[in-house]
Amino acid sequence: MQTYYFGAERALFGVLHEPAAAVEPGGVVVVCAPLWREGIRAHRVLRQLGLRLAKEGAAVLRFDYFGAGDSAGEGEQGEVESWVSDVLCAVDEARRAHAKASVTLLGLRFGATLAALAAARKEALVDRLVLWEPVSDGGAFLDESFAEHRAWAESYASWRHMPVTAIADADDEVLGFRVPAAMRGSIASVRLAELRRAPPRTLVVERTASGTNGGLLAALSKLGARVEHHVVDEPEVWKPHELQATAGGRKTQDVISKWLTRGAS
Amino acid sequence: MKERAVLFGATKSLSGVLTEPSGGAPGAPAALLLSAGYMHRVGPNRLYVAIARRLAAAGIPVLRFDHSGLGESAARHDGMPLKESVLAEGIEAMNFLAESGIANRFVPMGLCWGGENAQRLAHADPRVVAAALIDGFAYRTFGYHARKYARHALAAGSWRRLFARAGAVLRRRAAARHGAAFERNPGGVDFVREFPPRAAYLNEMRSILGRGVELSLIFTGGGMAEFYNHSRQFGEAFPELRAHPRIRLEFMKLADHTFTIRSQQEALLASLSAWVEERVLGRATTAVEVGADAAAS
Repeated sequence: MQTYYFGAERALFGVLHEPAAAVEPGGVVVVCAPLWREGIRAHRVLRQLGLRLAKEGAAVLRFDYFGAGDSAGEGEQGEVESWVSDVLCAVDEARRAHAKASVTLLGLRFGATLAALAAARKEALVDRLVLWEPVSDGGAFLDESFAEHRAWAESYASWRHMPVTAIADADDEVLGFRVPAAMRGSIASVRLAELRRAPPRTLVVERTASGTNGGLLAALSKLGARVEHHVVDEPEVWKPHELQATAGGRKTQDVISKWLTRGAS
Repeated sequence: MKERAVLFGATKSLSGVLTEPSGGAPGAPAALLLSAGYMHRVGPNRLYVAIARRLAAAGIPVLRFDHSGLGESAARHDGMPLKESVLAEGIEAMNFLAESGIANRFVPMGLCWGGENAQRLAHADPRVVAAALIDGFAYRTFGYHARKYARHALAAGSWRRLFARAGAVLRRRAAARHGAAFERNPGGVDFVREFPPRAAYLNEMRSILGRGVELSLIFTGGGMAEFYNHSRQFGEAFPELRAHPRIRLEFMKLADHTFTIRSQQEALLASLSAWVEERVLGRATTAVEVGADAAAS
């Protein structure tokens, strides 16, 4: 494992897991983490997935967006366009390390959304896409995130016998992270069902077949991608209660591992 | 300010990020940010990144790192008990910084488990000149119980809640019988923390302070509500340390354990950087009122 900073203008923190032998069958996998607290919660599971895929023959690059994790920048500086640029920068970095290997973009939650948006760029030349519980509607994601923050604030205030106004002193916070207007605007405009390009092969893994990503699946198929869709009912590894389960998301990891291995044939 | 990824330790398996002042820091001590529970080195809500950058801006290098088995650091395979390994790894971090010519004096700090380990490190290694313990060990007093039950009695619906929580109380009592302590975290999970006996804690503090170590003790109202509920409580529990000149004591009444509230994050950063400038670097600073809520407690 190698930890380092890359990117000429925006120092991004990366962790490269090299396979024991030559790269393949998984090629190079670039992992896109969720945003904000979900990203911190899912850190351990994505690391485990990276270690596992490396053991199975892939080179795996995990990285933090500018303003997130160990990367340079402040949290409020991010927007969808700049995060997508970071994903493309990570793809370049992965290609620098393994020029001839196929490239898979793998993302969780809004990281999956950013992976799909980056893969849709002409210059990305991504071979495969893995979307783990993707957020296909940015506006709905924001509503859900702010609702979660309000619920926490109300619960905390009630427990402390305080008015909620005593602690909810700003309207641009999501569980410890500032989400300024420009960031909110960029997220709200995301509709994955309106993608215009997709890699030849895509795997979508979700916890429930609720239909929230139905538009995305149809859009990917319409773009000519071979889409495999799995419903795996297991805890949300990006939520607080699940973090202490050290082997979180194992069934989903099995699905991803098998799909990537088949990709070589 | 510059940041770089580092690997250190006997097997180069401990992973961290070193944040250094842009002009260097000749002669200044270096801070160590110790893992906050199972969180990786960015800390809850990326708080450790913000602390490292703020302290580097104040003039000291800061190493944030993952203890073995956490974050990017590999698990140990030598069978060393956890309490010993975290201490050994803290010492390895200091050795790494000393051998790299970065610092010879150190300021361990951390939240929760990180605060507990910063205290242990301050006790174990004479190179430690200061330590910041955020929601570290705390001890209930008569005043704590009086305030807690008075508040409950006055709060609307408190009796209904009291009965509804009967199960949780029983669990806490069961845990207490086994020498553990419970911490309530609304909307999250219950953590079991083990505090040393009061006498052992006092002896350790006497030893640390006897060496001239500066201490910043910060308690949050939310994170420590099961143990600590007033700015005077530390003095109630340990009268002989109440007005100790090398202890800076703060009670951040509004803050929760992981500093979810952004204004409280900023208050913590202001507090730590002012403490470092004044007590660690010996500069005169403008007084920072940490958590104006403290006075209202």
